[in-house]
Amino acid sequence: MKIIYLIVKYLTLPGTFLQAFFEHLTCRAYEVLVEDGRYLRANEMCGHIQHELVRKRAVSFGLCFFPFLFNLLVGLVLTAAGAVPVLYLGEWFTAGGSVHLLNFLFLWVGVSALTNLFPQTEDALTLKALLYGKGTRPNLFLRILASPLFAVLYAGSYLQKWGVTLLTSAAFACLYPYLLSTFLPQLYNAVR
Amino acid sequence: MDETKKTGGAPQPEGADSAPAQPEGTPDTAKADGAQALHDELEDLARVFQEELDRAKEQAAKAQEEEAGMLIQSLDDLPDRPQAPDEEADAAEEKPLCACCGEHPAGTKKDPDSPYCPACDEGLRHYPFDFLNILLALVLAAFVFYGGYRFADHTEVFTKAAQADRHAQQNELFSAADAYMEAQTALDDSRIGGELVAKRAILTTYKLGYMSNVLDFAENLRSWELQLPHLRAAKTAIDRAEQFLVSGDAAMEILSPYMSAAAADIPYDDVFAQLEALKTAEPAAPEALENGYVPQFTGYNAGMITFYEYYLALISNQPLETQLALVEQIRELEPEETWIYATLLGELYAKTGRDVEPICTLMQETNAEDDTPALLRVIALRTAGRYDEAVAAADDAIAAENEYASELYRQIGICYLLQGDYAKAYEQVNEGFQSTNPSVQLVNTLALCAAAAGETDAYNEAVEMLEGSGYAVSADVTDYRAGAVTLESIFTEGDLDVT
Repeated sequence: MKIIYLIVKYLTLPGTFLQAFFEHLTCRAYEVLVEDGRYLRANEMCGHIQHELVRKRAVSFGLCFFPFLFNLLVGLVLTAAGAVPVLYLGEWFTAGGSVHLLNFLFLWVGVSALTNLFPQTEDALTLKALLYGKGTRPNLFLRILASPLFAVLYAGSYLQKWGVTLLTSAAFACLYPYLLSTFLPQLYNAVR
Repeated sequence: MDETKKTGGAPQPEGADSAPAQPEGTPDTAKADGAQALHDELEDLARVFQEELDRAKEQAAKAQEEEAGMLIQSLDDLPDRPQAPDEEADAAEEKPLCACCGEHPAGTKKDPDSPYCPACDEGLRHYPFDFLNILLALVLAAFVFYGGYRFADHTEVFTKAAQADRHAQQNELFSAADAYMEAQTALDDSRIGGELVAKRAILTTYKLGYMSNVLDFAENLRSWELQLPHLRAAKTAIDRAEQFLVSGDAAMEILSPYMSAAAADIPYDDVFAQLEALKTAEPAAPEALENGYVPQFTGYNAGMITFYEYYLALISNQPLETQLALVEQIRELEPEETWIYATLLGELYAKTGRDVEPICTLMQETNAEDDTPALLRVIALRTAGRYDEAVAAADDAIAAENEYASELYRQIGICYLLQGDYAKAYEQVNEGFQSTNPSVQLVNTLALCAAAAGETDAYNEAVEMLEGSGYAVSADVTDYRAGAVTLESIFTEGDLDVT
């Protein structure tokens, strides 16, 4: 399974890099001790930063959430820039007749970012322990409030571990223009 | 070397030099003296060894005591007494070294069990970014902004295409066709080659029977791409559109001499035979589109030829059943192409007293924006003699902004004519005449209503209008004025309408 994980990680290299970069950035912001700052190691830490065990709930949440958020934003923008011309309009060629590589590049980087959204399972488990573990639970309101996001991060970390996020992000890229078409025309007309 | 070294290194007893000398010359006495001397020497040696051993034991015990005292002191007095450099080094050897630098002892104030020294701990909490990583991140950030700009640049085109698609999904084909044309214009203006938009536009306009538009949209596709699976449906539509157009042109070539001829002057059988022969004839080679693609088909389209056979039957005043048989044949040949036969079939069903609902339902399923079903229902009610219901249905349809409002007014007028209210009939048909660009049939009906209502000026205007446009006044109208036929006979017999 490590092979599949690594293949997916290297196929989606821009997203892998970005995720590690954002993890690194978050570690710096929270002053989390980084034990190994290499982004593209050929093991299960590929695309992640090896850091100390986090014992604070807010830091653990931030380490899981912010790289997810940043990659999600990057992925949504670039997938829109790639999926709309390639998968919806059919802009496969430039006016000059050559293949429109830029559109395909947008799509690849966008899908890459969406493939590498989730934290590594150890971080997700730490967050689980800090949010829902015995003795460390926050108040009920916070636990309920955090549960949808935690569920996404937790489930996503396992999907990412098995390389399934490549399939989910590719499927999302196909559906994304149709999702945009449900509200963007109205929004565009309203703004104009 | 002295004597002591020769005797095994044992020190010479101090009294040895002062021992009494043995007298020489007496053998026994000398022998006894020798044994005694040896015995004394051995005793001296034993004593010396014992003394040395005791001294060594004493020193060892003393050394142990000193060492134990030093350890106790280092543990107890550490805060009070600064360690000597060598003592500090000894202590460092005992604690694990930093896992990062390997020089300083591990552990920090905050976390004594930390594997890192304070300096490394601080450094690792601010782990530096590689220059290359920063550069790549900046490049990606710039790429994201450019992606956003590109998407914004495509928003107008995307919006128009999405609106067209939404209309197409909801079977609003007229709106969809208009929106696709707008989207294509926006694509052309932005120099964006939207091939998937062109494909969807082709399929939508094909459903409507707008074959020229199909070929216009086809110009946006590359000829070699049309051989690929993702454009197979578009290719089929393009091929068939060209086939329909070529078939129509060939049929029109045969029919054109008779288009303005009187029905009695048209050699129906001969012309029909010529049209029938087209079905098996070899078509002219299709012309290549601007993109170089040459549409492919093997013969004229039989359905399209049959449509022109129906048209021949119509202008030749053939019986309704003959016309209906031809339209039914079109449906059998091209069941998917509702744009050819549905309206004709509905009208003929209405005029022959058949149920129009199935064909109306089919038309609405194909194109929700098609207003023809409402008109067909009005015609069906009118031809069934249910005039009040027909008028009510027509009023409802007009209120719903039916695109065939002028024809609906004409149907209302016919209902009033048949009910004997000629003034109201004229008023309604005149309303239809004013509402849109009138058809020949509408002007003839207006003339008929004017004649029935005694509106001579209006009748003359209608006649002038027809003749000015190169059309003859309908025989139904002139016969009615001559008293040869009645209104009932015009609208309840034969074609059930002004022809």
